[in-house]
Amino acid sequence: MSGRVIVVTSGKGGVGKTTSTANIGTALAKNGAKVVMIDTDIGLRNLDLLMGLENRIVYTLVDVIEEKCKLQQALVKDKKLPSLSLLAAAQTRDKTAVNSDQMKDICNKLKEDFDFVLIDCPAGIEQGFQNAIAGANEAIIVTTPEMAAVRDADRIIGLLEAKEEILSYKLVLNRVRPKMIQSNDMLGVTDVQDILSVKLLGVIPEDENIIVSTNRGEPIVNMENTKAGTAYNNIARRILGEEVPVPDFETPPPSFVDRLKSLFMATARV
Amino acid sequence: MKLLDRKLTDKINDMINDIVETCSRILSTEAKVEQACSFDSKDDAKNRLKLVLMHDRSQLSPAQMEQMRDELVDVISRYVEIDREALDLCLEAETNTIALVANIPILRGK
Repeated sequence: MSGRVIVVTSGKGGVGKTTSTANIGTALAKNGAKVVMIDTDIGLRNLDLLMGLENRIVYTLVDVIEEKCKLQQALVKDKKLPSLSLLAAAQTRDKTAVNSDQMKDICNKLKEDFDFVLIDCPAGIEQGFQNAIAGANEAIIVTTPEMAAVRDADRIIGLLEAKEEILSYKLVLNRVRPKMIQSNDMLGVTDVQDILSVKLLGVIPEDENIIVSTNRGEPIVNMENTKAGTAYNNIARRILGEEVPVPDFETPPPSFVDRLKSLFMATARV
Repeated sequence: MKLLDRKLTDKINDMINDIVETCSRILSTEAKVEQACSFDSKDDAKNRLKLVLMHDRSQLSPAQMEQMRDELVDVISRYVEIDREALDLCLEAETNTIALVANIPILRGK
């Protein structure tokens, strides 16, 4: 088996890389795929927290690289999904503990056993970023409709373009506020696509439930009927090759009067 | 009776016209005020981003911009006499395009 190695990256911090990794990974596993997530943010690990696995980490990525344990020993199984695993970052070391060749090696080993190797990339474009993309064949660029995030995403796209091992990269637009877009106070999905000219993988609406899900250490795709959870699940289905349309966040919903009108029209026709 | 009716309808018509006129006047000024003070911040963001990305992507350093400016001055000076100091060269974002805009005051032809 040769799995797909996908890096989740953004340039700017705080736009939702780790949240996206946790949720896309969980959703892929829920859809039947065998998934391993690697946290490459050495020294600032958080993916374990979002997955609620912080108490189960024994060995880390750095331990594997320094051969203090076997690769299999460092993989932590998810609480619910047996087909989902996590390889945590070391918290007490820094980015220099790993180099690109070692990362490539680990990715190559993992993709023999998993359908998806999902890499959570640290913010920035330095060594940590270079390590994270080293073994990847695909990239997911996470950004928000804010100027700084879009600018940094553009820089990341430039760096990914220069790396020939990365065969495809797609955009996830996170924390979208439909009302602000509709009133022209926020860059819309088409605006960001215009500017970055990258294929769109999905749009995640702003959702307060994300905070609740983080508090609980439970990815939002596990919560019923949440806007963000549904959006992440749709992303996973698209990655698996399904055609799932992206909902329209830019056209205002019909007003009360409009809805009343169409109701009358419908009744009149009957 | 008919005459009275006619007068009444005229009056009502006049009144309606007045109301429509007043309303449209108010509405149009209101629309103008709104346009003047609350242009969409989204468009602002988009234009600024396009411009800054143009700079980022072209990787034109200020030194290179300066060099381009000097070379442009040399070329143009072969044909017309220009005010070297007043030449202004910059990247500008229009609605859909990015342009290299040069403002070159000509002193006299050669």
